[in-house]
Amino acid sequence: MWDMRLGLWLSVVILVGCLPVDSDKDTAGDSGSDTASSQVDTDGDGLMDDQEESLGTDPGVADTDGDGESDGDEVDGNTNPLDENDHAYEGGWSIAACRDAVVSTGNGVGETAEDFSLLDQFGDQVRLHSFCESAVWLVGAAFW
Amino acid sequence: MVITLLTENYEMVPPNQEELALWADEYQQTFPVLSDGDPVALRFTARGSLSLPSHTLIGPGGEVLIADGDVTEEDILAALP
Repeated sequence: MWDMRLGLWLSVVILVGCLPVDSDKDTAGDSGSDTASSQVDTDGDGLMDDQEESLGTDPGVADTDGDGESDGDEVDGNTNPLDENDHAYEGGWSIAACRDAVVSTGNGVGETAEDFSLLDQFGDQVRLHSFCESAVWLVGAAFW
Repeated sequence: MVITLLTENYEMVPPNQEELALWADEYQQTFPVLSDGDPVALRFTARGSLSLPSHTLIGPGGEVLIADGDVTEEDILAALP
């Protein structure tokens, strides 16, 4: 009798030991295709932890480069969350995703204009290529 | 997008941020007003000198449509994406 109970108990222990571990209770288990880590946003910056790992940002710090904008806002705004000097313009002008993909060929008609970065009225450095999805009318003027 | 490139202030030097802000307020500029000490506006003229005001129109993707020339409303409308 006791041998049967011991055998049954050992069977249960062995069976439980062989079940897959699913620490987050998402029924997917903890290995292979488990997406639990990708669904976690530890620092609440709008980016999932695995996104942060691929971007090189800190999953535990909402503003990795310390420029005042969260990593999620920087990604949404097409700025670099690892560069404290790269952030949204205070003037509110949108930065296009294509800005770093524009290849300049020259400044004549039909060519692709060279980029520039100049101080604006809010103290930001504004790049021409930030507006690569728009038509841009450049007006040269002076105070005198 | 309209970008104003201010090449010089009254002292013939590139304007600082405060001067840019004053200019933007005075002329109710809601777009970028930039201090252009380079000046980059000169890049778009083949004359080698800059006449002010200068006008250059750039299309989406960065293509120069009009380099230091007359920009009309029709030109702008045609350039819009």
